[in-house]
Amino acid sequence: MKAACGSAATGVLIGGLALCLTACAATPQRSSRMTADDFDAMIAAMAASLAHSDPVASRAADSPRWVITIDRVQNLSSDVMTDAEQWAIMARLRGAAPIRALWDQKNIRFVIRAERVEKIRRDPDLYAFDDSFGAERRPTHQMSATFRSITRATAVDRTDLYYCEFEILDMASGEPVWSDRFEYKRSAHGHVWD
Amino acid sequence: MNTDEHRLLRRDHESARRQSLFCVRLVLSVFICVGLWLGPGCQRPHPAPTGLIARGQYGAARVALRHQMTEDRADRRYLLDRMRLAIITLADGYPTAAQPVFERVYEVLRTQGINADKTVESVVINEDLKFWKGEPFEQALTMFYYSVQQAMLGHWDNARAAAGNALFNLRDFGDNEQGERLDVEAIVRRAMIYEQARAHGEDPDAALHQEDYLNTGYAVRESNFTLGYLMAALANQQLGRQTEADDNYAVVVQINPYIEPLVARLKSGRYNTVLVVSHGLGPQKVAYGPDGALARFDPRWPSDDRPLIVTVRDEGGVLDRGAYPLVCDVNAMAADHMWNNLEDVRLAKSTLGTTLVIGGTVATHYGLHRDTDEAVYAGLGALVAGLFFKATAHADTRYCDLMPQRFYLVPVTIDRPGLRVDVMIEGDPGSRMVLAGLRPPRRGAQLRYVRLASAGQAYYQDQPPRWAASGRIFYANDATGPIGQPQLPFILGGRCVRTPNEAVLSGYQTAGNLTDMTLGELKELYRAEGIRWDVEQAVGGAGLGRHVLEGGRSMVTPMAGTAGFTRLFGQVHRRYHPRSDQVRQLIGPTN
Repeated sequence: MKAACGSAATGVLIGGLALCLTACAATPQRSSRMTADDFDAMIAAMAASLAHSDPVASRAADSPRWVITIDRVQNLSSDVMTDAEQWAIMARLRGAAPIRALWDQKNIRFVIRAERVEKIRRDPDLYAFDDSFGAERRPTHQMSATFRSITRATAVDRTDLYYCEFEILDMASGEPVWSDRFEYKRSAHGHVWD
Repeated sequence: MNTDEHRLLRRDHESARRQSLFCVRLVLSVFICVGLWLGPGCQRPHPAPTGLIARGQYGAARVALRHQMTEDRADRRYLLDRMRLAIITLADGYPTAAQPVFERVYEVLRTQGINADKTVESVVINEDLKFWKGEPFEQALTMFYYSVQQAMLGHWDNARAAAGNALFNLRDFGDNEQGERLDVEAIVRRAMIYEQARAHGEDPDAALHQEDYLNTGYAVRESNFTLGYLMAALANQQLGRQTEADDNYAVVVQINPYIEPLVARLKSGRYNTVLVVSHGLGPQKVAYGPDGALARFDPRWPSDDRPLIVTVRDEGGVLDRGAYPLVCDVNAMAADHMWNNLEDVRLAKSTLGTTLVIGGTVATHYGLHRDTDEAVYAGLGALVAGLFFKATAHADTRYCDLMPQRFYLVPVTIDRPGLRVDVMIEGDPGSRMVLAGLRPPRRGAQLRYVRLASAGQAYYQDQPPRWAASGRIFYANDATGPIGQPQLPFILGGRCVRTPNEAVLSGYQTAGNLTDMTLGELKELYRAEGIRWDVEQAVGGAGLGRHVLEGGRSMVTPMAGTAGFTRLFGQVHRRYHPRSDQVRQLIGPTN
């Protein structure tokens, strides 16, 4: 009898403890969304690719200046990317060390879009900026980025293969002078509704 | 038996009784402790201000929801709070302010299997242990709302992505012998039959490693969420992806041939404005069955297939008039087992199984030890355990109580400012709303979410709220500019709630007001009153507050063509009561 009671009590305690531990355990993240690490890797790869591309590598400090305007990312992937995220990607690419090095070494400049210039000009809170703001932009090239994805989903699994295409167009000729793409995959397990 | 043997037996008996009592106490203590631990978790979410919402008072409802929202990410109502707030902020015409809320909601909804493997805990302890993620239909509708919010901001690429995420695969347990959809009770019965059959015919170890009926008895099928496909088609169309748009339109017609004329109109591209119109309150989740272990959604507003009558007018008369079909009936959606997670079925089945295990243990124990006291204590322990499980077996009845009952989708053409769009559900004058202030989009199409209101909380009213049908704009605002009245800020007794800037001040001064005031001084007046006009400022940490016309400190203009805009500017509000001495002095002693 004593042994039975002891076993029962021990069972109850162990069971309770197991339940508490299971209930309190951190839920693993199970999302196939793009992550900040993905963006970091992509930006590093794309900046290096651009810096070492033939059109850029063949330039020198005294080459005719390239003025590149950067478009907002177009998101044709299955994941929502907020406006802030989309601009942040382009800003971080522009600010990446290999790209910054191009300013003086290759005489390449990056400028904001015309729409953004116009918005700043019209912002009643920004007194310092008038119609002359941005008048010297005169972009020669345009950089764009498009995110796409392929999704495969079953009852309990989802995999998204993302790829981002970057491109720089010569605005005079309309020819692409550089393009590259970056791919990554994210998978998630578990019912999407659960 | 001699005296010593008898004494020894009695001592053994006393010892066993004490140990048995100890065990029962221990078990009781554990259950009481768990019950106490669960106490806070059993709290119901704050009731939604459904009365305010039915009457279209989305500003007040939004602020109330914001104040009761939990900031704790681990809190079980974290998502529910945000889902409610996001939906009502959108209804109030503030898609930008809704952005950070939708971002949180989206992050959670895109996380799969949050509650995986929690069934056992929820059965033994409490269903409320689970993180509330909503039923699949609530999740799909929320993703749809996110798509609407992105489209309102003109971000059709993100609208496309969000709509695509509303179209996740569903579990279809099929129909019964009469060709009717299986309901929850039928699925429970089938699950139990399946288990019993397995229990009698298969090796226990093999059975243990196999899935049960709830995991295998269904067919995975593509979503039948018409509204989601329509949004995906619209977004693709706006992005110039006509092939993908046509694919989505084709699915819509396949699911619901009744709305083919609407699809034809959308495919033609003869529109520049899309109104997503909703009305009523969606169904409520109630517990039923033994111990309330099962859950179903009961309608709060009745279903019907009445169309939405839409009339576009200018000063000269009617320009366009049409009847648009119902696109989504949330009552019907919630009633279909495909759009429910069936967690209540799993819970009910497991609870029954647990009860049987306890009963079996007690019976075995009683059979082995036919001692009277032990039987009493063991019976008492079983009774308490049984009561505990009975009390915790209830289905989780939390639900998003702010979903509308129905949705319409209306393409119209707004080719110049000054048009009024009159929308009303056929035969329901109380649902009428006249949208003023819409302007042609700069490029492509624009989208507006319009949540219709009623004069009362009941589903049918003879008359709409007065503001809803006025069709007028009584206040100068950032969306539609000045009105005919002499221009003066609302806080100084006028009817202008525009953002203070040089052009606006110049308008006041041209009208002979504030001629000695600089822009800096005007802004200082607003600051003295604690009034904000920039949405980022106004959102801040505390969320977007009430508009200054409704007694708040926000002067952010809601988007024209929404219910929020119509409510704010379609009626005359009470005079402003200043808070600062500066404004009091300017207004004068009569105020």
